[in-house]
Amino acid sequence: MAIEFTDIDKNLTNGQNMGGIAQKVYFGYWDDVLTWPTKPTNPTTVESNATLTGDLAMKPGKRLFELYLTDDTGEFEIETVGELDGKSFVEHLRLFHPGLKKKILGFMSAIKNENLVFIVQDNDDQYYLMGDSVRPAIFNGSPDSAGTSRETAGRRGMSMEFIYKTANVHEYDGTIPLTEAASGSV
Amino acid sequence: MWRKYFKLIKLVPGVVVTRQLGKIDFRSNNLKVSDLQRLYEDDFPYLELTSEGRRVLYGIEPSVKLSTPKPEMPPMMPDVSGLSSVDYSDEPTVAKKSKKKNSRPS
Repeated sequence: MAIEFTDIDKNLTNGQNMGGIAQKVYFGYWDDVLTWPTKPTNPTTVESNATLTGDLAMKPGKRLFELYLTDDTGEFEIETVGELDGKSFVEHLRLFHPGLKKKILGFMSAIKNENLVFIVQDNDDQYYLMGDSVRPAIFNGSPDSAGTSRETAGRRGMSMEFIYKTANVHEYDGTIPLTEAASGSV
Repeated sequence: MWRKYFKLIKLVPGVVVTRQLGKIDFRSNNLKVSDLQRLYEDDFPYLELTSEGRRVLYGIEPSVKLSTPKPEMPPMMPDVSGLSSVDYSDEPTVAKKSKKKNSRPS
């Protein structure tokens, strides 16, 4: 059954439409995810076509983590890619983390070739899950450089970009566990 | 207080980010029962009701187990099928304890 169209008006709750993302994103290893929320199957409305059902749950002893980003440096972009009849999307998460402490250096080294999962909160309190049971999010480099900066008035830190390739774009309505899943929770 | 009505499941007590209420730290003893009830009713996957919670929050009384009386059993009939004719003329077959007397040589 085809998805039923509906009128799409301005649709801004309370007139709100602030840009950017929150000053933290949530991340973890893709392999540590036990169950993923379900993508819509046979959606009948455009809204249900954009809704993931259920919660991301982690394997016992595993959890998600927070990553701080400098305000006005974070962006969640949805890029359309593909040829005619072959369109899909690439979601981009770009952010800047200040400083070059061991924690962020070690993080960059650890994730550079790893399969990851991210959850991004925008400033309109919507969440986006980057990763699914088939495809992870991956590190895609430092678009705005990473290092000490040239000038004394510059800013030390790490620019990062992560991408996730997906057939459709969805909003994530579930929970984000920042504490370990209990053993026996499988 | 909230632990009287809800039990955290599947997670080690800690922080969970929820859509409805933001970050909640389940290590705290001071969570609002009304907040947790809202989460529970929104199918939050990490809370289950205690029996007290079912009773107080939703008026669900615990089910009472009825003790079922044991059925009366008919008296056991001895199995006489293997017995042949029995001679009762011998002395009763009550085991006699034989006391060993300390016998001293005369």
